[in-house]
Amino acid sequence: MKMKNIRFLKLFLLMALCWSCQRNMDTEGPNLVDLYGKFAVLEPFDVSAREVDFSAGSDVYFTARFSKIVDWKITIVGEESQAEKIIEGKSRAIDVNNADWRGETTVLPMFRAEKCKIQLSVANDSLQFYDSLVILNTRIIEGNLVTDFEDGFNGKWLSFVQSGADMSFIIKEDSNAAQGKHYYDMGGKVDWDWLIGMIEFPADAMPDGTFNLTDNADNLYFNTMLYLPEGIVNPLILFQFREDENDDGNFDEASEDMYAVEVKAAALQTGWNLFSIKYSDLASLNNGSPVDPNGNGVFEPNKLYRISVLYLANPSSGYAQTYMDYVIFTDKSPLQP
Amino acid sequence: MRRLLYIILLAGMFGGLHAQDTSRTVWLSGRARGVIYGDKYAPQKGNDSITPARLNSGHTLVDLSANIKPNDQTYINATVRVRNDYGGFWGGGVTFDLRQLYVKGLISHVVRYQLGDINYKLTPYTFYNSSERNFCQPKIFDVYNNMLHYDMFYYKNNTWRQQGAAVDFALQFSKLAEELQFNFFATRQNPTNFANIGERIFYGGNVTLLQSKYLNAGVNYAEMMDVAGTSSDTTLFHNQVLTGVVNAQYATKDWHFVGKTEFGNSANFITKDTNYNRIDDYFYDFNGRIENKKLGFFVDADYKNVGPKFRSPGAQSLRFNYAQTPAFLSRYGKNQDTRPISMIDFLRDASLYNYRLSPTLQVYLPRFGNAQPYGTATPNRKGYTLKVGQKAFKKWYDWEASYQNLSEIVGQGTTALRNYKTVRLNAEWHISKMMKTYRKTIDLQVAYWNENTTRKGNETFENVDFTNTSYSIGAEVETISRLSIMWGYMSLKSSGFESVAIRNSYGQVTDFSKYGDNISESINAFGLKYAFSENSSLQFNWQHCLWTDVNSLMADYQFNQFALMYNLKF
Repeated sequence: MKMKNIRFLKLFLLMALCWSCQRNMDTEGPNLVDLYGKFAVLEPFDVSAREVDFSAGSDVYFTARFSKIVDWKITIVGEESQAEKIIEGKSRAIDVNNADWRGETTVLPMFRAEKCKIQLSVANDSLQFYDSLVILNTRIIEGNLVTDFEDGFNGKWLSFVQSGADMSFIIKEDSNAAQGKHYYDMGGKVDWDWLIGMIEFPADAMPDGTFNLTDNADNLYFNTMLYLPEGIVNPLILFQFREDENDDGNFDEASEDMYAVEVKAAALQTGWNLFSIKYSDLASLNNGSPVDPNGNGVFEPNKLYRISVLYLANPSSGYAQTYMDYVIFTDKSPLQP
Repeated sequence: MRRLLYIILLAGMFGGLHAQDTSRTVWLSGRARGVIYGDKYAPQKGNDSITPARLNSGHTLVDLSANIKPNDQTYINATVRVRNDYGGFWGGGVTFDLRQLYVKGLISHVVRYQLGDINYKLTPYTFYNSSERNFCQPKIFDVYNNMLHYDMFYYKNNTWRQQGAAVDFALQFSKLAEELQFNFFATRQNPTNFANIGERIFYGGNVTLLQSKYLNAGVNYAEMMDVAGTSSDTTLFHNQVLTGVVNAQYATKDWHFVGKTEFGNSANFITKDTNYNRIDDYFYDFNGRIENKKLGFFVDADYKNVGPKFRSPGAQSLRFNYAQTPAFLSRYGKNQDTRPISMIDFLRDASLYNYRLSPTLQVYLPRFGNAQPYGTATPNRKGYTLKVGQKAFKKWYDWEASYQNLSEIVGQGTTALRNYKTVRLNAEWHISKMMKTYRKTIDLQVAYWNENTTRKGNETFENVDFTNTSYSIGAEVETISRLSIMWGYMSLKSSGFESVAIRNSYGQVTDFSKYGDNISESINAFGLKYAFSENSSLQFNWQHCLWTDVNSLMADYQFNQFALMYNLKF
């Protein structure tokens, strides 16, 4: 072999050696210990604080460490409210990154300032871990609150109640409230008309005389909490939103927009439900069917004039009852209770 | 520098057609086949009144090739297959298919091209059709493989049959180097459905510099990719493989020295798919060989390291579809269990074979080869292979023995690594060549394969211990002129425990399935073969297959089979 051949060979071998690559040496697939290893608690379940003031922006987190990756579930239950917060995960460790709680609620009603029981359970294992903490103050929810019914019936609200049987359109105070201690109880039986009763929240009932809403309907959510008692299947709740497009302090049915949304009992579960809808998803309705709005057809929540809540039921369907609580507009996302 | 354009012939591109007289402008060639199979199934123990005991099947077919040479620089081949499955009289069951169509030729006596069906390969790490079989097999069974491989376009040079185009040309030099060869191809993998499935193509090529008779080096590139804008799916699959090859050789009067290396990397990514992260990896493979020309004796040593994330669809696609159930006797036994794939299916069942490249690693069964299920380019392997052997010593015998010791580079689900030890022996004696008076054929074949996979971890569930063992013995004795008596026996036994990776649609390992085997099977065959000529033969085989699950998890069964097979090439 000639010298030029050897030089040529050296050149290519050098290229091979210089083929600079880096290799990820992580193992492939799930860890066998997680699949087949024995489960053991390496660090016991613990809570970062026994008392927490959510209104001050504080949080609380939970910790534990296991010998393998497991499906775990932390359930926090308010002793007084029976509110539930559920945090679930699949990991080897529970820590601030996957088990942080800032006072939110998974199952309504919302938490109050109360003592809470905490339970950690691990799937496929009989072990249960218990602890407790005290909520000093509930968290502050950002949004434009229409009412939480805590201050009684506002004199500027409008109410209409048919003269049916067992009529109940009143603010009640008891432990059933979704938030606080008060809620609005709508109920009755009217066998000649769909409408059982209604309540209206005009803008001038608000402290500033306006709802103070954004003009971006895609970024605004209407939220309220609705309670369906056991065995009640017939209510239809119609929310109407009237806009004063020309800012004349009145609403003209013939020339201005009214948007609406219907909530049927079938969409609700027994107990408290959170209902949220983006403002731009509202529609102009006539007897439940979409129609063209009478005004400019532009969603203008900043010109919202009045919110009406019509409580309806088929006249032949018997007694209907639903509670309502915590009516609030939120920006950018639905209410996180 | 004198520059000449030079034509590179694609060796083996045209199979048997090379032998044809090409002075005519139009001529016919082709193949014909007639096959009758008779199978008798029975459980090894007890009775099975549910499964049909006797199955008969067969077919005749003719592949008629029109060879058209309209001018000196153009050649057209169109092959039509007429097939009649037995039982389809008077036209029923007859199928007509266009089996092959291509045009090839020369442009200005310089550039060679081929359009339509092409058989192509690059290197074992870029584009290569690896053999599907690891277990040992005597020659009496070759007739089955030959028919299947012909049907599936698998040729001995490990090409993949594709549809597309290929171009080859070369430059010749007077100094520094002798020649620079260029080979390019582009093939279509799947057509768009004009909805959610886009056009996928596979293309690449190589540039090889023949520096001298001692040395050549080249660069290979292969890419499989989705073509943007051909469907509503905005995610686009890409796999890119770039390799370098260096081959050196030196010969004296008695000795021949060869050194080869291939090294490269791959990138696998899907654009706009947030669920899939790009993976890159590399490999290298060094091989050295010393051969004594006089004795035919050789020693071959190889070391390779193929990264766990090295992906090369052209080289890692499997011929055999292990995820499918056999078409022949799919269910059997009192419980009508799905019959697992066995050795007989490798010989008979064309529905289990692939002719498409797979963008991801396919399912495999450790029972049929665990060390390198995806061929030489199997990812996550490093280690060495030693071979010794002797080629056609005085035409008396050939033999080759090899030992391979591979291990994983990264563990699967654990840091413990699997180790794969493989021993293989193949030997063939041409006994009549050693006899001065006997001119007819007397051949004896022996083969052995043992593959052991182990993994030892800190925990019991990390341990793996799985062994495949196969051996075969075969003989062919020519009695009266052209009539040979053949006998062959082959067996495969698999036992132990393995943990097989389960991959998602991206090819990522998401889980492991416990694979416990203790299965033994064998085929004992006796045959008669009459060779009318080099191109036509009639062979009758009778064979007895035994399949036994030692753990008694599945019902044991047996087949008594005969096959009458006539093959003609014209």
